[in-house]
Amino acid sequence: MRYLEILRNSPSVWLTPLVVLFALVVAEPGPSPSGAAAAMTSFLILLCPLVALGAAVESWRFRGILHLPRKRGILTALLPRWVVGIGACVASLVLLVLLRAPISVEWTGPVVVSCLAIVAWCLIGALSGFLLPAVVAWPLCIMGPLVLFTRAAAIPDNRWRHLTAVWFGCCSSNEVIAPSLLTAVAVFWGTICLVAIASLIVLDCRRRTVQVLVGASAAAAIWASTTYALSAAAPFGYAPTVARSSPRVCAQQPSGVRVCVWPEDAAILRDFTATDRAVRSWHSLGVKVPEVFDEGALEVSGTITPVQFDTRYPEYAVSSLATGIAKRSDCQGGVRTPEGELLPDGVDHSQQIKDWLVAQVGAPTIDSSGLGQAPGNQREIPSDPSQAVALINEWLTACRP
Amino acid sequence: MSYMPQVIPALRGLTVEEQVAYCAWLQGVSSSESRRRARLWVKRVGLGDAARQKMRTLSGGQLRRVGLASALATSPQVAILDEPTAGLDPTQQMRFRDMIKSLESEVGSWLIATHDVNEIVDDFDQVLVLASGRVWSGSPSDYLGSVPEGPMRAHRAFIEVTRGM
Repeated sequence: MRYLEILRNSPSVWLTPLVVLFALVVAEPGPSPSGAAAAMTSFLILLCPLVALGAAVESWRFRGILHLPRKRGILTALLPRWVVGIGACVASLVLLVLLRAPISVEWTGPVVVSCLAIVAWCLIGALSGFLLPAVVAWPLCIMGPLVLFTRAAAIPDNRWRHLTAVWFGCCSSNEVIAPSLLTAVAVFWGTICLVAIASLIVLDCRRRTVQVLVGASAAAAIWASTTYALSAAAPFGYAPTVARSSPRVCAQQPSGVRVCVWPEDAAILRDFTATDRAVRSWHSLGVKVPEVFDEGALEVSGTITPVQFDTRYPEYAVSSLATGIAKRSDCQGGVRTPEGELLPDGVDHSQQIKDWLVAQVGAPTIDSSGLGQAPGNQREIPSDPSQAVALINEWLTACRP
Repeated sequence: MSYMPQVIPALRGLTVEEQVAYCAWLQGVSSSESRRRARLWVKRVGLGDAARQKMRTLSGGQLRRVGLASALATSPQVAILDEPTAGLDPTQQMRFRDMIKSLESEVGSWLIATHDVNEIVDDFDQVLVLASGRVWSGSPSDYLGSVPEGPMRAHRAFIEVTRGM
């Protein structure tokens, strides 16, 4: 009955279905576990004000316990109620991440930070509910997080945005949020939690010196953790990412090429048959197709080639692979001779290479608008097959020193 | 020892039974036992019909009963009641005093703080008067002392006692 009473009376619990419903409507598969988790942190903008408001309402309703005879401390008295509310919100956050990406150690960092932020806002809301009149505390709990999140995202200094733990627009499948930043932001939100807990405990204490001491320590702790988090966030721009270093899943294909993909894309390895057929066709034509396709390779070097896979469109797998191969011709610094000399001529033939490769195997193609180039760099591909292959191979190797 | 405050906070959203159980739990009674005792004491203070009523809908007299039930749900040896009849009309005061009398044997000792000196004469074994930082103690007959019979006798006795302190 007590649990039913808590469920019946917890504002956070009643708000959670709305959050879950909202998330189910907008949930889409993420590019990677870390990317999905980071994208889900944008839900903090919705969750934190709701949690803070729920806690403030709860504290307001139970403000009377400050005047009731008690053997149990204030935290023990209110924790079961908060646990239900916070638990529901955290569970909804984890559910949302799971809807977008499979379980992975890579999403634990952003999710842990998000949970800390949720708990912190809950405690801030609870404290406001006890200390301030409802007419002030409730609007403050709704508007405070909203203003902080939106304002931090709007100002040019990215450090404040990173501090809020909202990283929408992050990350590609080859990136993860920098662990150093995650640690710093976790320290920041963890400090806020501890300070709020200490302040709640002090509500029970009537000694002025203890209150002053805790207040001064709290201010010092918040200042120190904010300074640390801001300094940790300073080296990063808008996207606080580092290269993803987790191991890939690899498989040798019948054509002889070795395909390595991120664990969440392992299904590609099972469905590589059609794509591998295309690789064999290109081999037979004499195209210098790389021996290793590595989804996680960031730079063109040797036989390692960045390959773009998109699991959402398996029918375009050949086109995706051709795009990855063609990227080798994207000579950002100009074409180099085998001796390393920089030539001023043509810089990007990737669109032509990709279209030609796809056409050779009659696969459907997708428009890769990001690979467009200036008309001045276009060259006709000869109709003679051997000349065409020679030109394609020349382009594919042009960038490599 | 348990304590019934002068102002009984109504925890919004809770029913009478839930508040009594919660208050007992706050004072260290286990969760299941507090629920059992709440059911018992809510009936014993005469709120059986209002057990599932929300706290915010209660009258002042009913709130006092909830406070009493909450205090007694911990099975105390000593129960301290702070102004238990303050703000009640005479009928409610009488009922409340009768209820305390009926529950007298449930608690080892009752310590009741009150400004209603008429209560002292009729209901208590021992009287403590606090005034100007001093304490006077004695039996109700000592308290009434040599004050002659007549209207407001208890009040006149109070003036006499405090004058002599």
